[in-house]
Amino acid sequence: MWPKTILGFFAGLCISISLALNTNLILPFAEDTRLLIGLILGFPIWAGVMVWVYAFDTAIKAAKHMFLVLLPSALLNVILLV
Amino acid sequence: MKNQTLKTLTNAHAWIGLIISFVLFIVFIAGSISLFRANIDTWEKVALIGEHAPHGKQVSYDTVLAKLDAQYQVDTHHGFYLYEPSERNPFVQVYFAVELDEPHPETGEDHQDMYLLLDPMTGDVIADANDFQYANFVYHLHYDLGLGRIGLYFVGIITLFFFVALLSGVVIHWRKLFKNFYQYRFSANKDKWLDAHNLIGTMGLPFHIMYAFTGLVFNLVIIYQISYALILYQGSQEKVLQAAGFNEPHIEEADKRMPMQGIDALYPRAMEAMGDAKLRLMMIEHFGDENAVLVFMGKSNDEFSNEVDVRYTLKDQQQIYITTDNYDNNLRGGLATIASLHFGDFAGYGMRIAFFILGLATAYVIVTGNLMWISKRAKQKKQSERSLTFVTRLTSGAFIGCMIALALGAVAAKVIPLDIAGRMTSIQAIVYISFFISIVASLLIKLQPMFCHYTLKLSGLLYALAALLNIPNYLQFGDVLSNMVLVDLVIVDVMLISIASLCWYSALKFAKQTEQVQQDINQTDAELSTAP
Repeated sequence: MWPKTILGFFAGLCISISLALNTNLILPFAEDTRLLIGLILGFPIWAGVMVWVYAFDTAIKAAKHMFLVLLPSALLNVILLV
Repeated sequence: MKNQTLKTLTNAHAWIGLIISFVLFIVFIAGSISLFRANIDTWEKVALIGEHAPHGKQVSYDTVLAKLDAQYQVDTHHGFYLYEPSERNPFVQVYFAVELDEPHPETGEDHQDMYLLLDPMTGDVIADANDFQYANFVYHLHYDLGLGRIGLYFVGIITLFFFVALLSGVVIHWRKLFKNFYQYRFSANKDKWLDAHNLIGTMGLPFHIMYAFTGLVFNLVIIYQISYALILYQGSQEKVLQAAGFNEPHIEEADKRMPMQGIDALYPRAMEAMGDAKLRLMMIEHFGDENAVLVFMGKSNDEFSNEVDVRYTLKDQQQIYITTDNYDNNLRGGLATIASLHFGDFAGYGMRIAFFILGLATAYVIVTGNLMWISKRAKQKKQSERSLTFVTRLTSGAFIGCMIALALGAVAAKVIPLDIAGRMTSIQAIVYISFFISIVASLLIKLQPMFCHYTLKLSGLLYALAALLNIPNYLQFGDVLSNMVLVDLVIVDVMLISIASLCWYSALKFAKQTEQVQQDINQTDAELSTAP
């Protein structure tokens, strides 16, 4: 259970930050509203990703799926920031 | 969803629940009690309020601050906080820092924090408010276990796992969420625990999710703050805070001394400017400096969670800033809403009582979660008996220890006189030591039902004793105390009696098991004595 916990904790953190940043960079709202939306989305995404990781049989399988989510989201971060 | 996935998630749900249960139980019990923090604060220092009664309604901030400025070397670089007297607390409360010539022997800092209660007309020091902070201590246990910033983040991580346990619980029970909503089986303990766990968990789900989310915002928002600062704001925390609405005007210190006068004249102007709002506190930036700024902070009475703030320079009494709508910032408004939801301070005592009951119910969900884990593991042949015994005894020791420790703290808060030096240190020591003694005793005692039975009864008696110790205050000061103070006393006493009843009722549940164990011991003794 510990490998899944550690993976879920850090993958969830990275994915939540990345997705919250994408919403911040994409949504056509005022700056304060975008920050609030990011804050509201961040923690549920983090916890949701952790639950998803626990649903896999092994941490390795979960890691592959997390990578597949994080990679495009992080790439979108880079594209939007550049 | 595949059965294997459900099984994996169920295991994860039980495992996470067990790991976080001990801290989460403390967080929920302390949090439930903290809903009545202001009432407990009055309850603890009622003798002081009674001794200084009757209380006038007049207050002279200029006199109070002039006297304080003459007595203390107030540190200009720290905020000076001022709470107006109220029916509940008839003293002026001030919170500030004094400059030290040499580093503080304990903290090593160049200043010392002061928290004083002052006479509203003369400014005479009535008492050091740091010495009666039981309510605040319990509140700290709720959000940082009394461990400062490390405890804050630790409780934040525990809350994150609580959120995960909630979401996984919803996924596990989703198919039977409505079908089994009213199911409560009496056949076996495990079924009863499971049904109660699911029932309370489901009924309280919106509350649990709200608490998990808002708690996370309080304790772990720093993570998103740092990441946003690094990626979006070129590493500048200041820019993030400005975007988040923390951009009130700040005037630099002039480094010229000036007496802090003019507050009495500014007070009515501020009240009028803020409109229909309740003043929360006043704050002076750069106390004693020529560029000192007086800040009035309040909350609207007619709108949900709307903060108002008006600022004046003390030198020329000019208004330099005002906001009547959450600093005109959606994030700041959102944070104020999150805070109101968490504290349940928007709908009177009815809401707080509902939150209190739901908080205790969550503690029950935590306990039943552990009991189910133990019951399930006890049936598994591969389960190590040693580790199962450890978890069983830790569960009893930590959960009951928390109840006993808080009860002893409440008794100590009533028994130890208010003017004894180091009073709060003693109360804190009593709480921590009794908690650890309870855990150690539980780990050493084999007869767990008996341990639970007697320690729960002891907890119940201690909570009842804390309430009973308040009776002399009713008799001595009943005719001079205001109605609001009397209401506070009654609320806290009713709360203590309620917790005492719950502890006693739980103890009786263990009585049957204790009798059974006693019968077994007697039977074994009889067999040994009759053996050839």
